[in-house]
Amino acid sequence: MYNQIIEKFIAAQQAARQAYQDAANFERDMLAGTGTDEPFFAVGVRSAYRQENELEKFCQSLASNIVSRARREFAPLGARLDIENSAEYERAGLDIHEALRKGEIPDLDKLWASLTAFYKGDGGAATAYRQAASRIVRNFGLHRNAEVKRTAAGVVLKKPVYTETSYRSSRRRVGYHSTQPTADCLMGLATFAGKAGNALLAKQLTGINLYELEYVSREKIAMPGLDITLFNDKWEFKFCNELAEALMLFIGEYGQEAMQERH
Amino acid sequence: MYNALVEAFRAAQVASADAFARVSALAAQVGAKAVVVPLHVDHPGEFRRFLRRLVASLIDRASNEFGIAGAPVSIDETRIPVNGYPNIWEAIRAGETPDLDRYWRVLAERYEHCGRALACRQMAETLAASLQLDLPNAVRRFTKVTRLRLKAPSVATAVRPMRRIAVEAHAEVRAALLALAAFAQDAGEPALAGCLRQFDHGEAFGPQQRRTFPGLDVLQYNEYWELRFSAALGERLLAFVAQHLSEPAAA
Repeated sequence: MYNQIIEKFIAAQQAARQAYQDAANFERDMLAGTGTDEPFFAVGVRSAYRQENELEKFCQSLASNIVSRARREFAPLGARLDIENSAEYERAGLDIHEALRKGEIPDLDKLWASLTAFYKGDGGAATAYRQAASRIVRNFGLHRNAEVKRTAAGVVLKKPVYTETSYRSSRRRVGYHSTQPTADCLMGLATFAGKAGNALLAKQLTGINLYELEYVSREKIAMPGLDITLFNDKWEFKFCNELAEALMLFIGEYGQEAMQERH
Repeated sequence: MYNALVEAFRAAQVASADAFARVSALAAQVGAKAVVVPLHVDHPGEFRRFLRRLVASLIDRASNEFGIAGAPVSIDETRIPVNGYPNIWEAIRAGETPDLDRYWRVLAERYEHCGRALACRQMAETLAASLQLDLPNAVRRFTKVTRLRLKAPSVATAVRPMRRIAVEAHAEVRAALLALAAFAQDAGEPALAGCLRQFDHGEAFGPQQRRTFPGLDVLQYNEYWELRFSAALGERLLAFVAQHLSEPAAA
């Protein structure tokens, strides 16, 4: 079906070129009738290069749109699924530039088929959970120091988050270089919460906007099952016992690869 | 004729837009609505650019057709109002599609009869300016030759004795040579006309270099070029310039 779109696009390009070519021929005949020696022509026909370039750009954007459709459709509800374009092209054996150079139609149906085969059913969910687990492991440093502080109320995990003074108030805000890792961590936890059946927690975690967030040291964000205490250079995540249990199971199931990593 | 071309171009635009719209429609059909991003083509802008090129070519054709061979009449299209706009460029800029066949008829009406006289006058003006006929010693008559001076400032090139026409004087010298060629053609000296048309004025020359053409010698000095016409031809040139400058401008 995607290949059909490309075929139609090529046909449209040729039709458009033919239309302009007809107009150009008409002008040529017309000016030949006036007997001008060196006329210059007003109707421009696009060069072959520009036409091929347009086709290639179209195929590229179609292919990347297919991948982002997979990102949307195969991710479990509320979770983020990272799929890299180039890796998927390689798996499907797709080289758009090369195919077009040979005069073939790049096989985007095959790309969609390979994406479907790989991520459909549990594939997409498993990948998303593995990515979430590895985000959690890396951000809390679980693969480095195995000691986890347990208290009677639950389990405390720490994540370094550097902050800077806000220019508009005396409160602090998340520093530039900490924003992305922290967002990754919260997203991983949200995915985990969704998997653990705590939809409310997942929703609240996704709702935290790090660009807007401003706090004073030791401020606390309380959510069902999880309290986050915000310090100036670290955040403490305090999980209640049952959630901690679920988290350990989750990491045990999906985070083994990330636990093996050495930095 | 021009309107037919404008219609043909419009049709081409519509046809190509339709072709691409069909692709989008197909994509929407298979449910890949967000998948195909429609390409942005600036159709009104493309049409305006086409109109500008077409008008330029129309005016070029008119100035060739209504002028003398070799001396196109220069047409001032900025003073001809179109559709209530000061001139055709303003009309196109405002998004109007002017009736070009009618515009051609307007140009023909204005320039068809007086075009040749106007071209002669413009030629005479060009020659009078570049030969500096207003200076007291512009013309010297000898028994065999008439000597005129063509203003042609030059600059030294990297190769020491050689010089080249200064950048700002190229256009004037070229215009003067073309006007001379047109005059020669008119005066029944096609050989001289051909030579002048092919004369590369931008070429480097050694000072006081002499170029010899049938009926004309050119001595290239630093600040001016000396034109030595055979006496009869020189008289005819001066008479030509005097006659056309004295006539009142027709248009």
